[in-house]
Amino acid sequence: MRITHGQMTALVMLVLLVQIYAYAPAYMAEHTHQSLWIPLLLSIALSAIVGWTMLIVSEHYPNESFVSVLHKVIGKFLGNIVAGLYFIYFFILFIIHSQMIVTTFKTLFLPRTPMSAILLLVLILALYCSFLGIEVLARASNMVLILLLATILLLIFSVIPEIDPSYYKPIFPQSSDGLLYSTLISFSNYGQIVLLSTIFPFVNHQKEKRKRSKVFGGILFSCFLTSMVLVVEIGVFSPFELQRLQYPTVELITLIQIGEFMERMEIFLVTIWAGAMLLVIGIFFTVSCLTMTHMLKKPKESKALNILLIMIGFASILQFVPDTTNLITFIYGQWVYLSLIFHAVLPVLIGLFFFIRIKVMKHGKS
Amino acid sequence: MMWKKRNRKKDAISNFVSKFTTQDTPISTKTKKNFEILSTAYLANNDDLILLSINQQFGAAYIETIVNDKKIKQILDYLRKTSSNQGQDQLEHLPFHHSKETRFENIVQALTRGSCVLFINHQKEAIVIDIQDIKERALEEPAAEATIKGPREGFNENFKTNISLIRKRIFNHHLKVEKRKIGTVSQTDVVMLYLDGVASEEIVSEVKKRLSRIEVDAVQSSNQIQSFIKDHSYAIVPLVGSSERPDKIAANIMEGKIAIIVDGTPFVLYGPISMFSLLQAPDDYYDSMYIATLLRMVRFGALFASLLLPSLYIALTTFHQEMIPTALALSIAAGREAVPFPALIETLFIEIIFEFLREAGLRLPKAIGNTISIVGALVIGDAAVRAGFVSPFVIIIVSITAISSFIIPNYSLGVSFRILRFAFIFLAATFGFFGMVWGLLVLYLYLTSLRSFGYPYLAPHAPLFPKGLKDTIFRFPLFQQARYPKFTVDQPSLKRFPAKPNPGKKNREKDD
Amino acid sequence: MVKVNKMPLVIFCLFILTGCWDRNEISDINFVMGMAIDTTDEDKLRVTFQWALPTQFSTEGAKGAGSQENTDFSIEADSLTRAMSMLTEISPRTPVYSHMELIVLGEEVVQKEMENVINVIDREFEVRRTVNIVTAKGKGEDILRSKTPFETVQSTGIQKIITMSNQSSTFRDVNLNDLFIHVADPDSLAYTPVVETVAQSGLEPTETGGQNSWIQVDRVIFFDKFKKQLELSAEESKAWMYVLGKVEDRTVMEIPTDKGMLVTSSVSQKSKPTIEMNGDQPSVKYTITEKTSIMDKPIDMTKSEMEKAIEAYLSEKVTETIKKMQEENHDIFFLRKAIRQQYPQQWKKIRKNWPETYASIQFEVHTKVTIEHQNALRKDKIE
Repeated sequence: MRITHGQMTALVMLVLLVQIYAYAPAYMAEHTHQSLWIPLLLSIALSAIVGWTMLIVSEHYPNESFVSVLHKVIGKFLGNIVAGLYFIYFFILFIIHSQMIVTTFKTLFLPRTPMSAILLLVLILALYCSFLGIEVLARASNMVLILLLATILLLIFSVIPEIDPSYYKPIFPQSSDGLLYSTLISFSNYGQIVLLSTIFPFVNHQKEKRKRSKVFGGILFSCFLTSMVLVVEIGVFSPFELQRLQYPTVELITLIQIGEFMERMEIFLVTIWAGAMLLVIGIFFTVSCLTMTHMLKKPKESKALNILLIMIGFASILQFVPDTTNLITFIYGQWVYLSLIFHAVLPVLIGLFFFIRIKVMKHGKS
Repeated sequence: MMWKKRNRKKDAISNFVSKFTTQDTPISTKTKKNFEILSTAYLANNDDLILLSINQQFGAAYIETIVNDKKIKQILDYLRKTSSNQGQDQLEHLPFHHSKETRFENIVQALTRGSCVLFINHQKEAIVIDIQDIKERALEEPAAEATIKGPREGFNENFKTNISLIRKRIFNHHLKVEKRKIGTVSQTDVVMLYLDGVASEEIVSEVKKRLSRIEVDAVQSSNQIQSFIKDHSYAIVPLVGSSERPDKIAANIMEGKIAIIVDGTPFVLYGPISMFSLLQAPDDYYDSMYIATLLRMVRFGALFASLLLPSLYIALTTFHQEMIPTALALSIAAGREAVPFPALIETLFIEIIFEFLREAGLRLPKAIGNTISIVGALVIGDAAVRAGFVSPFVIIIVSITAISSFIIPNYSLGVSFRILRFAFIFLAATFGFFGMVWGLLVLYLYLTSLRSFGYPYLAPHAPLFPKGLKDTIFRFPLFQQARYPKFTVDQPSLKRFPAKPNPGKKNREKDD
Repeated sequence: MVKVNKMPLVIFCLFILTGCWDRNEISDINFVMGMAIDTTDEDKLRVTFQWALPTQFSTEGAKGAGSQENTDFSIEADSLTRAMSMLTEISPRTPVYSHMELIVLGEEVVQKEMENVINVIDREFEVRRTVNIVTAKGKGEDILRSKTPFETVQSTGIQKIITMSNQSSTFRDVNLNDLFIHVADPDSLAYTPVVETVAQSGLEPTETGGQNSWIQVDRVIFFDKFKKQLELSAEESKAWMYVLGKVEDRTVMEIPTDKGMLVTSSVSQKSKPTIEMNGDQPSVKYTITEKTSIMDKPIDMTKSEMEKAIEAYLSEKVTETIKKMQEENHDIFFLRKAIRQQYPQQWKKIRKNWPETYASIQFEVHTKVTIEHQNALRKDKIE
């Protein structure tokens, strides 16, 4: 069973919809204050370019896995290296997301539950996802996406009355300090659009026409929607207060009050977010397993490999990012820069190689 | 290594019940000899076997408990007349539907199925006349699937009656009825019905293949067949539909689905199904679309309530008290003041008591059933609260859960959600909402991965086809449902009828 | 194969599911509804916790709720954190702050310890951002130990007074979120409503407090970086509300005119500040619009006369308050923030000598009153 363009879009949208509003608002507000919208727009534009490049490259080699596309574009040796790098990239994302959900629940709702218990639950689910395969995840993603979209829209609309428009002033920043760093933060989230190229090979090309604009529309919509959450947070909390908040979105939910009875909803909304997050963790794990199997050229997915990877994941989470502080220092100290390799450098490299190859091929023909 | 395996295989084969057979022989030309073989080798110790010899010329054998008395009398009368007058020639023009057999195995087979076997002296062939008469129950309204506006008849245990109930709803030669026997000992008739040209050939041949693969000694109910032919053997939810209502089965056949009738059960199987079709009740189609849509939403809500309500209570009261509005939280706390058990034990306790009541209610004769409900409601509910055993809120929660589990139209789906409910109770008691969302996602992914005869179980929601949603949670008017559900027919462009909302507005308004 | 794979998983799940680490039964919880913080003479904090008795909230308990049980407890400790942990020493049930509805800061706390107290509250995730916060005139403890009509729990009563029945527009309700936002901004004052105890017989302030007094909320207190700056009178608070454009509907105003008393009830009210810069010298114009309905009016006063009278009265009151604040250098109208937002370049220069700039700002107040309808129920008095 192959997946459709719509399902692929849903998968990528889901990935882009879960992360940026978790910790990033505080750090972005710290560096750019109320003009947070500029880095957001910049990074969306950058991601769109990267995503477009990857989509064109993938479309040129339909029905071929990401690894073999890499082999064809930049050669066997380099291709293997890049594939290996991307495997590490997806694995790191899997680890970041897992720890993010674990640490969120542990700090906010389950302070006495041992971290490893929650983590095990998350990893079991990721393992199960990888056994089911990307097709099942793609089919499931539609409804989860709709639910998450509805939740985010509800959140945005219900806190709009709390917004004080004066917090957005002055609209343009006085200096460009921190603008670059903020852009990097949001690009490290929106750049995850490169996931597109690993999922694309599963799309059924016989049955469907190209739907580039729809795919891109959906993805950009999710980018703009999450950006809206950040912008709303500025309006509600003011840039000064936002800087101090570790979990601004959860605190934003506590402010929701619709009528006399619709309040105290954070656990419900966070739960829906957690559902989406769990699915995203599953996606990242499945994708990294897939990249690994393609790299090792195994004909079939082997469960042993997945179990081995999950164990490595468990150990590395406990070893490297055992709590919130570690996770945050990793994301905002190193990952923001590291991710640039995967979100910008490698896509540009692949794009360049692809462009040259196409040119050469055309020349060769004529 | 090799020889060991082979040995075991041989042993296994000779261990099957169906392999105990007497050696097959052709029939003798002497009636007496034939009677002897029947009464000693094959049907010894069968006191309902009747062996009659008529005028030293014919021998009639039948089992009196499964043949039609009137018909046997006719046959015997006819034989007496014939033998005295014209002799054997007349037998060639026997005014009964008959066949000829030469071997004992087939003859015994026919006897046990309610045929009358005529042996004729000096003849190598015996005449077999089917006069089976099996007592059947009258057609009644199905108890589990009652409707308000729908037809009142339901299937009974006889497969022929059941086929006729379906045939009388689809008078068309495209309705195919394919019969086969399953059960090496019981030889139960299993009939497959589908609408030729509409039903996907792929699915039809797949179902045939799966039916032919079944190896079992006896088939007691359609549920046994179901467990052999479903896609995932260990699936907790029903993957093959079953219904007692001929109208429902006929409607499903019209949609290109396949029905399987098993002799001896009033429950007819059909498939492929999706989970949402299990939430549909026949009345949805016999009443206005508005009420049908509302009721489906109610059922959908009930599905979640029956799955999650007790675990929600546990998660809220033991983990996330901050989420309950203050006044409610305080009154729940007041209700629990005297209760010595944690919420988990309390809820489990009442849940298990409720399961007791439900089981007891099923087994008890109807007259005593009322007593049980009084005992359940008054004694256990009220007294348990007064004794400080459980809090009133748990009683409310468990009752609502119970009520909502009865709202689910499909009994098997209700049962599987009843089982899952306990898993969610434990998840909620350990991890609160996190456990619940984890469980929900696992359940959702699991259901998404399921298939019924290759048809995705959660379609049209996962995978999502917005056009298919017209008959799931919503019930759009009939004229909007001209398309077949995706994947169930081979040609996607095939339509059921031209979709027109109104047969033309030519009527002049009378008050013009 | 399948069985072998599943068995360890099942055992493992059972293992996980047997630990209920965060379980906390709802009947084992002490719902802390309010908290009052005072200082003692020995520079200690005296924290009064108020909790709800669940039995009073069930139908059965309500019938026999004759006996008043003790639901307040005061603890003296060095810090708020210490006091909160000491509460567990006397409470047989775990205190939970997520249902808290009111935080009362004593008058002395506001002068000395406010920063520490607020920081502790900020770190506690259980305390929701929507908790109302007030400053007590005198001891906060007296506020919690006095009475409000109708409500069994005092904190709920005060919280409802503040958020629901406010028709006098002499204060704005402030929750933790608002307070944090104002405190976090370097160029902004923070404020809370002021609560005081009054004698049960009338709205006379009392010193005694305790069971025989009721609660009144009628003005606003301002802080600058956790330091009390000034307390407005009820009149000034109202004028301040007019300038902010936050006057509640149905706020009643009595206006003395030449012809007699005019009584109005506000329908809606808005205010629009316009800041202009002449070099580095800002000038501010407030356009205050109000829609009112007339509840009582002197005989033979036309609509336009009434509108004029109200406008004149309003602008007089508002200008008076602005003048006073300007003289005393209290930026209660959040001008610094507004200038920073609108003129970020100039603000950098102005910031250093703000007091002088503030004193020399030209204020203009325009009032525009529309009478929506005249509601007199009775005919005019017959002479």
